[in-house]
Amino acid sequence: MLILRTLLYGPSHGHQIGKHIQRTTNEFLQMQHGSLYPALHRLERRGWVVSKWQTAPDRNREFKYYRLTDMGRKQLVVEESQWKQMAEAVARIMWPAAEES
Amino acid sequence: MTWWQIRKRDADVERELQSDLELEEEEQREHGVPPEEARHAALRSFGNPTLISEQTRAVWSWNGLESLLRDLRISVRALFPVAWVFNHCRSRNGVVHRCYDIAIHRDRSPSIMFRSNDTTSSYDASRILAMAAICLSHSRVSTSSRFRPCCVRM
Repeated sequence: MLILRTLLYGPSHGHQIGKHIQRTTNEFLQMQHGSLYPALHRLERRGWVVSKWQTAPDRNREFKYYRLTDMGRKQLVVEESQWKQMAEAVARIMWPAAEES
Repeated sequence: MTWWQIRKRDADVERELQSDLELEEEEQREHGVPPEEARHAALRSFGNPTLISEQTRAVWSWNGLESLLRDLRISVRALFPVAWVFNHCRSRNGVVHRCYDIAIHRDRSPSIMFRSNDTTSSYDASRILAMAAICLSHSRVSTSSRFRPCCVRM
């Protein structure tokens, strides 16, 4: 879900995605490369992202850029909804008074 | 997926990891890390590239014939020590020979103890299994080291 959400801003390569998640969460979530690359390829296998080798604008080298597909956008909506439900359910248990008021 | 497509995909994974590792190294240098230490710092941050590569390739390899071949090879490798033990023990020891007949063939007739040529077919089968294990254990089908059992070879 986090990778799909990151790719909503535009195509990115693996290193950029990992850094973005790390930076946005104030270093709270450390995206391990051992999890990141298998996850990216799993998303690609499911057709939620597609990849293409492109030259980076700021570096004179090619990187493998991932782009969100229409299927990926739909999946992001589904996963976002599931996450909200999960977060609300946990919140009802953890802070019952706050939920009642 | 043909073998050359698998090779191409594996090379693509290697290239992707290499390019991102080099980028990490460049960023380390830009942050003031001395060039000679930048590579080590990048590797520390990145993790084990070989392991990451294997884990990434495993995402694609869990389908079709590739998976079947790997499972078959691992199964035969696991059976190889058993076949090897039976090959040697059965030909030398009548007691083991008899235990094998009871355990495998469920044959509890006492007369089989005195017949030496009854189980030729199963003996041949175990020889064939051992030969198959040797051939397959030397094949170069790639597999993740996580799933590779230890292999006893003759």
